[in-house]
Amino acid sequence: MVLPSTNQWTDEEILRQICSEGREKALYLVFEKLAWRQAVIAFVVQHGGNEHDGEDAAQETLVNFDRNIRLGAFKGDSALKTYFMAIAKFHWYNKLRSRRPLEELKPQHRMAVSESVEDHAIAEEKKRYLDEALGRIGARCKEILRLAGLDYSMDEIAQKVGLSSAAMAKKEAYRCRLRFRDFLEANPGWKELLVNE
Amino acid sequence: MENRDEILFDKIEAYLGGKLTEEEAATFEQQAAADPALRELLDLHRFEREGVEYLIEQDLRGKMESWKTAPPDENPADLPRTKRRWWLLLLAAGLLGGVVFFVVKFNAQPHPAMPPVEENPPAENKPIEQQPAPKSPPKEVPIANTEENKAEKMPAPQQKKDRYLALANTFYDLPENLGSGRRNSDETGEQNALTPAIKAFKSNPPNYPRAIVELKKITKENSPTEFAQAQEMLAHAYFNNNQYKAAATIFQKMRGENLSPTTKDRTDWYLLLSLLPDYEKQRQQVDALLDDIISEEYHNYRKKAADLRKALEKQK
Repeated sequence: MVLPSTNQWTDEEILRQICSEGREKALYLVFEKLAWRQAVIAFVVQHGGNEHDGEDAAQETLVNFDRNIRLGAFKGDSALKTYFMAIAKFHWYNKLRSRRPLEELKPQHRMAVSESVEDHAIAEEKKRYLDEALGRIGARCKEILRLAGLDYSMDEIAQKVGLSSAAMAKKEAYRCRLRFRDFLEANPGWKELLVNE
Repeated sequence: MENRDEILFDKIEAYLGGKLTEEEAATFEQQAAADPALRELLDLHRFEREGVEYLIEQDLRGKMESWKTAPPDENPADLPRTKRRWWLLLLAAGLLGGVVFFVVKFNAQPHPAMPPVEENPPAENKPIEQQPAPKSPPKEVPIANTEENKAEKMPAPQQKKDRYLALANTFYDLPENLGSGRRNSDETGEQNALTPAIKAFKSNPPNYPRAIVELKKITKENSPTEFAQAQEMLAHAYFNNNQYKAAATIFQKMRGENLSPTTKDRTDWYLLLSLLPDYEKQRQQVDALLDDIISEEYHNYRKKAADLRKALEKQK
């Protein structure tokens, strides 16, 4: 796949690539080449954090940016970089607030974008549970589920994990989900995690 | 042919993925409202989807780390599988071509006396020596003492095994807080069940066989805390005495216990190192442990695990 050179990437092109095979390259482009990562770090350093906080915030932002775009939360009402920075700011102000709980979020801290920038970060407690559950299904199953989650076709999944056909990939994906589910059914702690949200 | 479970599975997925029409979605919601079992199944699917999102997140975090050293283009692992196969085929063809070239060349010419086989080829040709020297204290049969030319003479599987062993030793450091709270018992004069073992660890050179004997004497009857400390020390004594399997068995057992986050992280890491010398057989568990450590954002050994993974990739 030949991708356009850096200066030819429009917002539309980046969005299209994130939702297709060029996802990694598109995310790399915005994060590293277009220096959005650096922009987040600079913002955090200017607003009460250090470089390390900035790096963390940049990574959290990219994870949320990717997720929001894939799940359709970005409607195209602002430029993509504005949206990215809005997620970063939302994340950082929340972080600051959790460090200094008595400080109220000031109006200027709220975003000037109408898009949903909400942090859909998975809670740490849930991550621990998921680590345990996903640890039981094996590396190949994890890869199949990840690819399916990224909307790869069963043909592509079959090719990527070395299965003979799309039908086999579908069967395997179903089997992997059942394996995951077996753990959930045997360890119903997940219900509480949902209730506590 | 799909069974009813699979059909329901697909329907729930379509609903959660927003792929049903408004009418279909409304009907499905009505069904779920009237059927607690279906509602629970829906919750289960929602949670599973979060699990999948978590996998995507973990993968992206790993990629962000790898971008620091190489952009996606330069990393063959990131190429689509078909491309990677071609890349490998080209490489294999190149190598084969090279071999054929030399065979033809040597057979075609009246062959002069063969040069003597180099017993000690230049160090940079030997992957085992590319690793920095182990930071751990010297062992009784340390890998660093392996004769330099031994690797050249050994059959390939043995060479590989030794490389993994060397890697385990390179990444191994004796934890500073081993037997914590009791390391100064010499100075305070306080004696306890661990003191003889600590002395054996501290002696110069360390006497690991003695430490093993002393630590094996400590049972749960001493005290649960002392026993737990003794077990961890015993695992390290085994490791340093080149008894990696025995070390792994103890770390594995410890992992099944209710550990503090710090101890759990430490145990993950040392279990991984104890399994590493037998990587050929323990590949699955080692890889899974590496996955776990690297994917855990605040794991104390995350950076080391990422470095180890890179080193392992080179070995492969």
